Amino acid sequence: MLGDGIIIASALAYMGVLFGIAYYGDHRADIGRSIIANPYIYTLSLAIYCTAWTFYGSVGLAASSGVDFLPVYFGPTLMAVLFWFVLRRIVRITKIHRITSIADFVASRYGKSGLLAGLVTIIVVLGILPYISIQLKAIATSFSLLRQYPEVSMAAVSTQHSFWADTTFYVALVLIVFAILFGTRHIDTTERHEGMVAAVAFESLFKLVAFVAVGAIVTFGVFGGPSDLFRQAAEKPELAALMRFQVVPGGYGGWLSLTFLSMMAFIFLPRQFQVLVVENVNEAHIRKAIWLFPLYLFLINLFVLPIALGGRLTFPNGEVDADMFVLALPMAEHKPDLALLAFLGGLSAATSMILFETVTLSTMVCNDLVMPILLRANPAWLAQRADLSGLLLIIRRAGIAILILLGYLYFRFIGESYALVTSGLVSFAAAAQFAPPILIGLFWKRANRRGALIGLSGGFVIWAYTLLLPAMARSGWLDASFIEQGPYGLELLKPYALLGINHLDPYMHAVFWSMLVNIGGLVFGSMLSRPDPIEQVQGSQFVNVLEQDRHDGDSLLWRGVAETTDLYDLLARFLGPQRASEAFDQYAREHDGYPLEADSRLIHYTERLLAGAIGAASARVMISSIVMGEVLSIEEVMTILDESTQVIEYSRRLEQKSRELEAASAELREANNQMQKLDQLKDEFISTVTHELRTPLTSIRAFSEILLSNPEVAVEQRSQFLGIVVKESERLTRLINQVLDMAKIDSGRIDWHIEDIDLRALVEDAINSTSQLFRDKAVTLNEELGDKPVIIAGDRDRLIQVIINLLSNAVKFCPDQDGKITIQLFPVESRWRVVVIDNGPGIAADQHQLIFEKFHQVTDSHAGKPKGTGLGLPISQKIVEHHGGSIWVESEPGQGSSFIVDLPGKPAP
Amino acid sequence: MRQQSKEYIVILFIVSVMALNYPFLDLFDTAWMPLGIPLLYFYLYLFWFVIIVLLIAVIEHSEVREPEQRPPPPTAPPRPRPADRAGAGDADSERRI
Repeated sequence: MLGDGIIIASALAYMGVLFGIAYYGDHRADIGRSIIANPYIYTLSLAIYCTAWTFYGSVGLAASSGVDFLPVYFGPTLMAVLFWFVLRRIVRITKIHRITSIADFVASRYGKSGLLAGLVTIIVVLGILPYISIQLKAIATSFSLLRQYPEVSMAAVSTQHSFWADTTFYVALVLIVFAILFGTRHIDTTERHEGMVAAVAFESLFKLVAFVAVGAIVTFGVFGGPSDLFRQAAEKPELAALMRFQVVPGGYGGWLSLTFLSMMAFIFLPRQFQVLVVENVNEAHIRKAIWLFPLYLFLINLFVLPIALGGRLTFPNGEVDADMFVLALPMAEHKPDLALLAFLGGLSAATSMILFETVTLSTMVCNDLVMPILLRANPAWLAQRADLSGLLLIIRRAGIAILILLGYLYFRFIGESYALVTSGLVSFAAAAQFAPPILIGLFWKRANRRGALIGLSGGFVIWAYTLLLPAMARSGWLDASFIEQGPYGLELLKPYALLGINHLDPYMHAVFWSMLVNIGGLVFGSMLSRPDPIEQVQGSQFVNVLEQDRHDGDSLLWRGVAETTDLYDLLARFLGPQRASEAFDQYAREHDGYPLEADSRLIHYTERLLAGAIGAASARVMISSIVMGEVLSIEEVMTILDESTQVIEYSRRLEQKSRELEAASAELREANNQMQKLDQLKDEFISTVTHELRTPLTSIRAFSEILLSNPEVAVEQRSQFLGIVVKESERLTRLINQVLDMAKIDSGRIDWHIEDIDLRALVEDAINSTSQLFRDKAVTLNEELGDKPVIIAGDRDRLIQVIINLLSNAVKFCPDQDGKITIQLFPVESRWRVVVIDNGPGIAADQHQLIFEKFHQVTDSHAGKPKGTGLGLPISQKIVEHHGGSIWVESEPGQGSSFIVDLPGKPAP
Repeated sequence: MRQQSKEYIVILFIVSVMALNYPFLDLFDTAWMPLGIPLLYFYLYLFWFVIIVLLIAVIEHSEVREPEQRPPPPTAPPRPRPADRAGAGDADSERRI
């Protein structure tokens, strides 16, 4: 036996179990070990799509229209096929932008527009009321049917009672309490409700088991399997008709439009968007859901037709509403347990929808409708309140209560006379209005706010005019004559036959016109207006979401600065100080602290957090109130994002490359100049060397030839000639030796014999070996060498070479008369200095460095033609430098020159 | 998902839309009842099931797995915030119970 007590107790027990699951789910989420993070729970949560409409309504529809209920499930199946292309995109965007609802999504896509968010919210609220009402109706009707057990009879309609005697009213009250407990425990920055999702998944499993159990028992227990059932039904002409297509109202066109509506509603009903997108834990779960969810739909629909036909066979006179066959059949078969299971299954289907839908909707109403209005209407009042999170909670709770009560009122005054599915379709058509702005917005970058506003409001008006108003009229709230004759008798404006198109069923008619206006408004509105920068940025981010790696392009939109404290205070007011400081800690951990003067990244971070609590549009208003800065101009944004970015980037790289090229070619030119200079030097060297070689060779050859051809040359003269030949040969040898020395030193192949040597003796040796030169030119030599030996470490032969070189140079440049050379040796600090002074023509200051370069010879007009190889001084310099000393010249033109050699002394032993 | 799998999915979608609408449905709109089940019912449910099987074949067969999403950063114990920011001193102590 079933009594009110047992039914209510089991319903409450069931709700208690749900609450336990939800609580456990939230608890696990809090400790970071989510129970919903797997594809199976995700798929089951998607089955929130199957509400009382599916549980009771499908059978009701099948009992009168055959297969007409199926498109409602084919639509989601087809959409599931496209999940990978559509849903994944939406989920990715939602996660990046911290979107919390469908209103938020539309608003975000079109430049964080508060107006659009509000419009979407209004459409959703109005559109969803019929849907909520059918859930309430299903619960109330099934309860009043079940409590009559064992009698099977439809209870009197509840409008005959006052509120206080109406079961549905109490059901609504219980659900309000439950939804508030479930959904608004605290303000979250992401608006995710893991506990609720877990509960929904459980409900989905429960209603599937319940429905399949009823279906299987009816098919195989009451009847002898499907073929027996269908055979019995086929014998009755009115039931045989249900097996053909002709019973489907609207025919193939209605079928197609219903499929389309369900496809769209499956994603764009607010609760569907919530479970599919916002509550998605991991994109990878979508993969499994692609086939698992259609399988769920398949299973839960498997027994719809058998139950419908079985119900028609069992209740041939229509004494039971076909919507209640699922419950009435077990009752008629006297199976109270199964009836209770069916009741609980229907309860679970209805409650999960109401709870989730109202929690989602109340968040939208709060974030996108109430808060923006408060922000605009009375900012001063808001500003006085330090902590707004309490206010947000109150708004949301009130929102839930009002929504459920409105649903109840719709049920009581409008929906009561309609079948479940008929009311539900009104909601589907409303949800489908979001398809154009979202789907087109996902793939068409230029779709902009104006277009979306025009399209959405146009579609909404058509929807209200062709579906909502007629429903109200039929319930007696409006003059029903406007359905038949059009308003004021205007035939063309009849709500079911706009412009005279009257062969479509009402839903197809509404879908056709609203979609036409919606899509047309979006496309033409977008093409005829220019988006502002933020719309362009958002559009381009949404469209390119899968290609994009850099996700914080959004932060570029804030160029100004704000005090970090201000941002923190703002966040604390909406989230409460605890969550705000947690969020800032999180930021500090990820970015190595935060600046005192907030940069665009921190501003953007705060905006996203705030968006989670109060919606994208409101968050932007709040943030812009404290950020001192201007929004970027369109040109700047274009340089940052959009297609031109790539072009700019490309040309920037090109410029860089060409700059590099230029630099490289400048270097090359430089190197080339150097080479040419060196080449020139080489040429000069070769000409010098060959010249130098030729001079002695010429004289050697000349004198040799004289001696050869004149054997009678006097002996005296002959020996003079031979002396010249020998001297010239020596000169040749010297030259060649020098060239070889230079080459050796340059290439580092010379052998140094470093030993202790007496520098004074060395200088004297050098003087001795050049004494002939002095005598030849009658140059007087002053020696100031001191009288003690000077011991240094060095290569004797090389150093002699240096001194000889200096002395012979000095001789060379001495005037022909009165040549005077002084050679000095003295210590300077720890060094020994050898100075060779002559009274020659001197050297101009600009030549002081040059004379130490290879092959450089002072080609002064006074100095006459060069007298050396041009290698002596460079070689000397190399030798001295090898000993750790230095060599330089001090001279002025006309004052003679001093060549100074500094050599490091040997430290005293 | 591999490119090929994506192509299969698009083809499957198009074929499904066509097969579940006029004029295909018209072919099955007869009074014949194979296996005791009306042909229209039989066809619709069978085709539905075939779609699911094909989806399983394509999805589960496509070996190249999308890289898993990065797990959220581990929730490290909250660090004390610098004391110089106003308005949250008490919240801090509240948080670390």
